[in-house]
Amino acid sequence: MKKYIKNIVVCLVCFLFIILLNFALPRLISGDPVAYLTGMDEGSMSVEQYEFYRNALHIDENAFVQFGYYLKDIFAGRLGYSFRKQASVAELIGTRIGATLQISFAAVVISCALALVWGLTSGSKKGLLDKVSTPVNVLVGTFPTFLIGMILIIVFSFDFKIFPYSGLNSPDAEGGAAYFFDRIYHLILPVVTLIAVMLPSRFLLMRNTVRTAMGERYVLFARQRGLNMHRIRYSYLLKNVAPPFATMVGMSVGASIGGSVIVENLFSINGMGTLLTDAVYALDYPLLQGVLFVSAAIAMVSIVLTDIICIIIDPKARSEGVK
Amino acid sequence: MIEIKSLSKSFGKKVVLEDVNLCFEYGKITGLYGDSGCGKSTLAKILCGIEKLGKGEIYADGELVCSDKVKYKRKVGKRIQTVYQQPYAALDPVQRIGASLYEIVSYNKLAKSRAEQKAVVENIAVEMNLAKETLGSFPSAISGGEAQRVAIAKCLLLSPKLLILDEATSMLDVSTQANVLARIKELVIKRNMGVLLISHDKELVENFCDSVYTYENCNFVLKNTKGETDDEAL
Amino acid sequence: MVLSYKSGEITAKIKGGSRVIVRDVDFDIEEGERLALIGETGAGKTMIAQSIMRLLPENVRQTGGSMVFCGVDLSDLKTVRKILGKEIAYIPQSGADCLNPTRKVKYHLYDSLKRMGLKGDALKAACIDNLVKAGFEDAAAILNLYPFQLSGGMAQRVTIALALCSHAKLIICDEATNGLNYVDKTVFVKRISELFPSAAKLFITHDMQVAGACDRIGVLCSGRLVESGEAAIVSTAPKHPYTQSLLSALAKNGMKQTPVLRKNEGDCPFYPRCEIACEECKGEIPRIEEGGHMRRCAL
Repeated sequence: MKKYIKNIVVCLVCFLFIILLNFALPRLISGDPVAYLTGMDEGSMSVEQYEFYRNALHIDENAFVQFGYYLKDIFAGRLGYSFRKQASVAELIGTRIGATLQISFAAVVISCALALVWGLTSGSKKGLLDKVSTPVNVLVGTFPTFLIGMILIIVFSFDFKIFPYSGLNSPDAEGGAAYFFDRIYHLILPVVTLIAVMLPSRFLLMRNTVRTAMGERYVLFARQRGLNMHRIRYSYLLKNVAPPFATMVGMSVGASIGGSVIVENLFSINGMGTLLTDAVYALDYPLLQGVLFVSAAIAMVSIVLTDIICIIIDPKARSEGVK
Repeated sequence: MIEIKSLSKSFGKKVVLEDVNLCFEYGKITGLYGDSGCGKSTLAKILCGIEKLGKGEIYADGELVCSDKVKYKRKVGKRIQTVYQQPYAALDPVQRIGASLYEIVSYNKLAKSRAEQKAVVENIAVEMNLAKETLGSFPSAISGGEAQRVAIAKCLLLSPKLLILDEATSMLDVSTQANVLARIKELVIKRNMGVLLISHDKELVENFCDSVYTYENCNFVLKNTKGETDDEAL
Repeated sequence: MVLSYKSGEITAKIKGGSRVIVRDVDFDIEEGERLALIGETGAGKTMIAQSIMRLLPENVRQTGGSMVFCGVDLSDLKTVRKILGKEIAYIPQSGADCLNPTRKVKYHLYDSLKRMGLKGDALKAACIDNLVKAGFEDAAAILNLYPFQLSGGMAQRVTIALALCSHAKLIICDEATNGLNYVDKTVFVKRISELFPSAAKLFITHDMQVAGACDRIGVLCSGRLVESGEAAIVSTAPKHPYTQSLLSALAKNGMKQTPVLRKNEGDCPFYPRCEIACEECKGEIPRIEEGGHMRRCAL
């Protein structure tokens, strides 16, 4: 239990650090913080407007009081206010995060499961499967996200006209099961694109750790006892090769949310990714901070979760933790 | 002379060594015999500073190496070197044998110039009967006996006054063991150093060492000192 | 006869060519008999064991051998897979490395017992039974431990218990006595003999003491069988110079060295280190058989 607590504490400290950075950066950049925090041009504001924003942002107070207001804002769940979009950041993110999570969560889960099974089989079985799948994955791994997405759109949307190329729902889709299946139907291409991006590195990591583990004496002894390969793969290899894999996946969850920026733009999906690009173009600092804050939070949680999973998997770490 | 004075060590509540007084003379081979896991290796670890001692003092040539109050002094402790059981464990699998020897020479500044370094490494290779090809190969390509000779060579580079062989030959074949130990026997006299052989092989300890201590009740008891007649048989 | 083994030629592909590891090693083991294969590291002992189980490393190939186990030809891979762990049991060198570090002891045993067709409550009963037989007094306490919580001796007893999860007709002990002390080595051989009275037992070792505790000894030198016969004779009064050198290298016999004296020529694997080699040793080496004792020596 102690071990988990240590992980969680480390995570919380990191989190505080992120909050601190988020607060300090726009205030440290040379220039007028009012301009940064509202995302508006100084010249285009009237004096009254400027004074209003100055008050609303508590710029005149000292840094600690400002930080207090900032924290209050976070804990109230508003995450700041985007003057550009005339809405609280939390609201903006709230309407968009669903789409992003649907894409990236599905892609992470499916690519993990695929990499796990495929890597285990390919690494433990010598022969054609391994000879084909390793180079294929290396090749696909070199493709940039937009290229994969564009190829998929060209082939499946334009040539074969099987899947839609934009949006998350048809305009005429309504309620119930039909809406749900329509959503799934729309999700397929973007999710496949993200899977194609994530899979190669995961597959290769899995395959190589399995290949190394195959030379371990406990695997040989299992074979000498006559256990079949299926049992060896899932009862002997899996648990031993899982920790590095879990760590890698956990670390990449945060990146996969960033990765969905390209996919969302490509498939015209209104998710966090498009929100982030909007914020960047409009220099909408509060929104930018909010998006970064949320994705950092998700990344942090997933890292802590993988740490805990690793401890659960590894009996040695677990027993030391208990001590 | 390396001296251990009233040394005690315990792990938690388990007392492993209590009031051990030993003295290793140069030019002599001392044997420690006891069952696996009794505390022989703990003594070796304390002597070379891996494990902290509980109580007592260790002296090398009258200089204090460490005590319960003084931290292990690496400079003095260098005179004590250990070779362990697993022949390959002491070797970096991706470093050539020669390179690992050079590393020790340059790290410890044993030579001034490149040419001198080369001479030092070559001398030690000749001394431990290592072929030129061995120096150029990776650990995976050499035999267990060679690996153990390399490990000994690494220790000898630092000109130790006490060489500890902690089960160093128990993984080797009898014939390889005979070869390695015969080399050790020569070195003891040539370099005037002490050797501490730790083993669970009673026959080996009794036949190879000048004096044998056995582990009894957390201490080492002198069992026998070999007479002149036994020496001739070897 | 339980096992009739003819190695043929076992070769390994290594950098820039191939090397013969084992050649023409033939032996039979009868029911209940203990055969020791003794030899130095690299003599090919382990490869022989692996070839019986058809688990040779990828780069190693066996040609021209024949292995018949209780009337079944072991050249068919599928048959071997069925027999392995049921009729052929293996006890490895160091138990701790050979157990899955993330799997509890009991599941190791369950895996093997399930292969024997056991289910449910019978599984646990058989598991405890085997652990007790293997020498654990409090078997129930062992069940839920992980391999890293076992001492070396305990891990080895677990591997013995695993071997007990079978109707073994052949037990292969590959250097299983390494690291044990003087007394425990002979105790180990005795215990295996008691636990598997009717099985043929193959002890692979480099220790003359272990070999001496068996019924018959085969001496391997660089992948060739140079001498075989009654254990009592081979371990005390061997006729082949190689076996003699193994004996004289023992601590109690003065640890005599056997340095390389000359280049390898001819057929005899011991020729480079043999003190009494002469001209005849460069030619074909005859196989001399005298009343159950065999040696390959020109002298």
